[in-house]
Amino acid sequence: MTEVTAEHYIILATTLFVIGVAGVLIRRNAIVVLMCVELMLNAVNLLMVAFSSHHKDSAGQIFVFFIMVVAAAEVAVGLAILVMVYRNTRSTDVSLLDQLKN
Amino acid sequence: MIALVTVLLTAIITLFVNLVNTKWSRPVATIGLAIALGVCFYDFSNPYEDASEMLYFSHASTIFSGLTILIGLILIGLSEYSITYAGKNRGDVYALMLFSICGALILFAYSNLLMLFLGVEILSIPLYVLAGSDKDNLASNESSLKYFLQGAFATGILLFGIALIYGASGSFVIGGSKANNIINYQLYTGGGLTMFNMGVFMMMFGLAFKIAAAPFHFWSADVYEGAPDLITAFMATVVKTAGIVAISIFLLSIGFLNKQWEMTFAIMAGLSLIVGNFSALKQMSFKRTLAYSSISHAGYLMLGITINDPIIIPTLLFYLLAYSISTLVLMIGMNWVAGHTGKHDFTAFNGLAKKHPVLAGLMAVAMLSMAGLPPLSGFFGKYFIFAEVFNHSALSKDGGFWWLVLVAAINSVISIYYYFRIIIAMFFSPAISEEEVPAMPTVNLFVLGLMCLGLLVAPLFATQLYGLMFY
Repeated sequence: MTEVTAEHYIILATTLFVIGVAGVLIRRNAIVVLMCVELMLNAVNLLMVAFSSHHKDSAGQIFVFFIMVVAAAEVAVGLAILVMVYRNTRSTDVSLLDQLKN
Repeated sequence: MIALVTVLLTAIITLFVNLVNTKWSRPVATIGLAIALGVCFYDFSNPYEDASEMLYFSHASTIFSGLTILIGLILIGLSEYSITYAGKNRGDVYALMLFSICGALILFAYSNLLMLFLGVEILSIPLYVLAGSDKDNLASNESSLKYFLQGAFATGILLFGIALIYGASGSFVIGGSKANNIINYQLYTGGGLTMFNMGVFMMMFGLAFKIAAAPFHFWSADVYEGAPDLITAFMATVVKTAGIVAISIFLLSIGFLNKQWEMTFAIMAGLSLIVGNFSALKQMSFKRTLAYSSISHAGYLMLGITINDPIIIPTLLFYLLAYSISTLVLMIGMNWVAGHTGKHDFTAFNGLAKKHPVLAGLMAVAMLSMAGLPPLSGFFGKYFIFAEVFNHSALSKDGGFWWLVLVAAINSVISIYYYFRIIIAMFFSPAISEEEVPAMPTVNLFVLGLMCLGLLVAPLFATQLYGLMFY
């Protein structure tokens, strides 16, 4: 049985982060994009906690709390913006929003 | 530090005053910011260092705070006619702007990566809302959603960078002399340097996004164009100032490791200059032109950052001062014209000089300052940055970035073309008199006049300003 080291967590967190980044870049539905952003933030949380345990230092875990709070605020604002857009366009498709291209 | 608390309290008071009577919210916000500006003088003589290594308000960060509060004061003070769309929610718009300024003040003074992250978020989250504050306008909606999705994405990448730096160094503290800062703490153990460099790269991705430096500028033209004029002015000045200062604080603190990043920054600066200027050339909308020109101004500022030396901070301050003041004059003028014609195109300004010579004259002065013509601050801002980088490259062994100064100089000549288009429209094109633009209130004109006067006389006080920074 192999021991779970910090490297395993780095690989896991990086994989989750890359999935999030790919989702943001590929998906066109604003809600799915928002979920992918959340996935990125949570990958960071995992990484912070792993490093915190690796360094025997609590600062990383405190940081995670702040990321959670900010992510909650960000989602609240983001969903409000989405509702506002949906009221005017009846859609959450990002690619419909191209009025500003000249 | 007390200025930060004052701005925060003003924001909260404005929110509550708005519940009682919307009319009072602007005077309350203005007075609060004026008090905060006064408090900056007190802060200046009492630098504040937090015992828990979170914030350090040095002389330089207090001066930057003063600049940001001044920008907010001008914007909110003169906003009587520019956010009428918000109706009864005007107070909320002011309060969100004040919260956003709080984030900027944190970014000027952070000495811990946690505060960097919080500052960036406190700066950005109100702005996502503000960009969409014109709720029934589809352009404003689109700008808000684009800014939010891409801003949140950039935040994620910034955070991953911070996590990697933490993994490499075991600390979030930055700054030279401390024992546990990210430089001299457990670094170089087991692939630590690679991880550290990767972290710095991702952090720079996130921060360069905030200042709209190429190649992370894609959001800026759309967002700047769609957002209400007042908010565009705010984004182009406060956010850019905060982002540039945050980047320079971070890079100066990682010191010798920065050497590897100089070339990256040089390329980013060059790209921003070229992309910003050449895209601005072919725009029909004045607002969009200003958006692209702000990308190129980020390029000049990045050029200053390429030299890894605290000597550049006062130079950046002077440049940001000149750039912010002239942007404000232009944006407020544009808002007045566009608010009455409904268009942001160059044609909306045709023949403005005949009807309103004073407004047209002041906008022309601001335009010439942006273009960098000699007696004005914009010229000296560029000149100081070019001179510092040139001196630095003359001293360094590998030749430095003299070629980048050349690129920047050529670009500043190219930029004169699109800056003069608006002057030609105002002074030499016949008016298309469909919608009548009324005369601007005398008070607003007077403030704009003072700002233009500031652009003229600021170079005379540059030396004193530099002295204050290192006081």
